[in-house]
Amino acid sequence: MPKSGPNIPLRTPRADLHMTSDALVIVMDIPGVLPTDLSVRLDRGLLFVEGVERIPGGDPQARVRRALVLQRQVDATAIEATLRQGVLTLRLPCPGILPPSRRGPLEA
Amino acid sequence: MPRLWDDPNRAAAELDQLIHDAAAPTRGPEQARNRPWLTARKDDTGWLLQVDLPGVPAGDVEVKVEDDVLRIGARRTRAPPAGARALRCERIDWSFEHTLELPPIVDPEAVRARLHHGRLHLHLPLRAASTREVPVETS
Repeated sequence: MPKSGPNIPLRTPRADLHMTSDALVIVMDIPGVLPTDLSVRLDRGLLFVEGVERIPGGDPQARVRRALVLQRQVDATAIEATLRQGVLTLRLPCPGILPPSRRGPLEA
Repeated sequence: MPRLWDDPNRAAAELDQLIHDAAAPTRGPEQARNRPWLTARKDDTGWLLQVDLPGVPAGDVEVKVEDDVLRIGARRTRAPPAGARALRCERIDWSFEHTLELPPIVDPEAVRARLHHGRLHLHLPLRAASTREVPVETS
């Protein structure tokens, strides 16, 4: 049973990025990846999402990998990850960012 | 819609081709870069179809077998976080429907579907081999 040999394709999942008032939210489609086969890592402003797609029998079918450059400072200790219906949702809190709808100069 | 075949071996080859064609990307180069929605494998028991349906609840997936026609339908709507500003959108909302006539070699009664971690697994088992001696009647 190959672990992750050269015959297994590498897939790049699509990602949506959203900004809330206090966090960066990343949503990625990774069907066929179990939570035990998923790793999420933050390294010097780079977010790495890596996983293995398996058939229900257990054989790996593909490697999944996506790296994202984070344009904002993120609290790495407070990242929340949810995997549901093959969709990974990551919530990365960003301390001290501006609210999304910022208006013009403040009235005194 | 594909037609019934008389020759089971040819039917098997045509089903393989049909599934391969169904899996081909039907939109632009952007889609071509990504995986096909539908992949197929064959083992001794029959065909195993996989359809990627990330973010689709079981209630939004339809798998129907009418006589020997298999129909798969699903729709996916993204649910962006409330009060958020979109910075990048690569995922898309979609809906699709695939219709596939099953060749006689497949047992339509035994088709099974399972949704597992955003992937639909369809098992199309082959009919059990059966040999029947036909008595030759004489008049």
